[in-house]
Amino acid sequence: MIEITELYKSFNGQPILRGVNLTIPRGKITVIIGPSGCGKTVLLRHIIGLLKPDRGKVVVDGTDLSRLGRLELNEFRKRFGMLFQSAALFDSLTVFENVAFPLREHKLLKDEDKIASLVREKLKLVGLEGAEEKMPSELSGGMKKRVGLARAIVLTPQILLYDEPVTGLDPIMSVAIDNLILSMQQALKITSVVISHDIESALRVADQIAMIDKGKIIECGEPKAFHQSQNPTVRAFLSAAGAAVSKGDS
Amino acid sequence: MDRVLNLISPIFTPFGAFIIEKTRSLGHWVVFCGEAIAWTFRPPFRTAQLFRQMEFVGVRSTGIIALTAFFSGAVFALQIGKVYGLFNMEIMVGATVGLSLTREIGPVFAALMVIARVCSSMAAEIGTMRVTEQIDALETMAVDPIQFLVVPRLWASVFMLPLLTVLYNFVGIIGAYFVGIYVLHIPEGPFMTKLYYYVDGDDFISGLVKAAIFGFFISLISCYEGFTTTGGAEGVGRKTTRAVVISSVCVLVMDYFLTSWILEYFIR
Repeated sequence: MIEITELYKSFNGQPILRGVNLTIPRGKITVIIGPSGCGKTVLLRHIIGLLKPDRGKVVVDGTDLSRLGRLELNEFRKRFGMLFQSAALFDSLTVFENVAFPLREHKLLKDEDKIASLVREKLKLVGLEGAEEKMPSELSGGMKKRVGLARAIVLTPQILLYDEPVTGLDPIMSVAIDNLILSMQQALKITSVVISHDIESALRVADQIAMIDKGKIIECGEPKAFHQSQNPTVRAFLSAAGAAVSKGDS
Repeated sequence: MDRVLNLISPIFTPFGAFIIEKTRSLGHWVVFCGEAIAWTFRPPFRTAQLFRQMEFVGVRSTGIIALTAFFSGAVFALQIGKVYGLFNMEIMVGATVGLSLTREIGPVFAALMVIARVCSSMAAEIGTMRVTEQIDALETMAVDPIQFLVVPRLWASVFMLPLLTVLYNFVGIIGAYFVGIYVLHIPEGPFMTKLYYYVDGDDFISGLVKAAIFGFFISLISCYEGFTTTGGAEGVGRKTTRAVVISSVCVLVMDYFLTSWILEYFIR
């Protein structure tokens, strides 16, 4: 379980998070939505300890991240996997080497045959078997995200973070990525945190949806309850998404 | 009093802000250097990465180092030979070029060439990794980016720059020999005798010590500039330029102080 309490963060005097309180249950998919620039990614970076809060704390499975030293934090991060918005693949390595990187780095498997077999298994899971020798520059945006996802799950993490997994993808690829998130959840039983501003995608995959606006969580609940929220910002967000869909339908 | 303060405040406030900003940057850089040194002694030891960087910094720089060394030795011999000719001292050309190369020109020019070829690439590569979230990805995979990216580049530069300096000195002297013997028609015997007589081990070693110190600083400056890149492609370009300019200026400024120190304590 991840507990975020009174989290504050500013950059150059500009407040981004203004007292975020959120509980992310174990083994469920929590989607954090909100408009662009509202602090979603900043919140996600606090959850994995890439940023230190000005005030407040992030407690992951009983461990307060702000109390960990650099080496301890590094060790603690082994229980996380993260899919970046840009996929963040190492552009000098092939798809295979990218996915094998965490295994080789942490020497969890010394046998190269076992590494190859595990990498192929993860690539198959994300539907990219046969792409092992491609370079990241040869991949489409959706393929890059799927390789990033294979790399994120290769160490079998307990917590998987997704930063805008469907942003910039076409609708078919967005649904494919959403299905991947759901299948990862069913296959690995991990805690997932998804950052998104796509309400449709959120409703498809979430067990819990939290909305962040102006640096605070303004609504949090199950998809059905969230959809019926009377919070004016949530309503505006839902109706804007609905309007976009109905215009597309017509 | 308030009027005076109001008058001088617009002048001193930006100056003060500038000093504070530069002091803060220097502080961050010193901490960065400390972390790079500390991570050197913590496992895992990345020998494969170190050798890869040594190949990039050293082996792949040999061509450009040899080319520039030959022509700088040659042109130096040409200029010195013309001036010494006024006093019938041409036989001292070999010794003068040898001393200059081993003590100053070798380490400084080798460092400047490495800055141009290698440090710019270090800053650009690490800067690109920063803006494309690859460094964050390393951290999320529990890999310390300073240990993974900076430590091999740091020690590769410290080990390879002295070797490149040896190459620079050797090829530079060949360039000077070629011009001295075949262009200025200096007798080979006196040219070589004076070279052996005046250039000794201390001159050679002082140049290598300088080169290792240059390697330490230029690699850390370039890696730091890459690490602190923000703002996409434009930011990478800006930081690469900064890395080259700051490293070059540092080499020339440090050279003066290192020379003073070496002349004072080691070479009599």
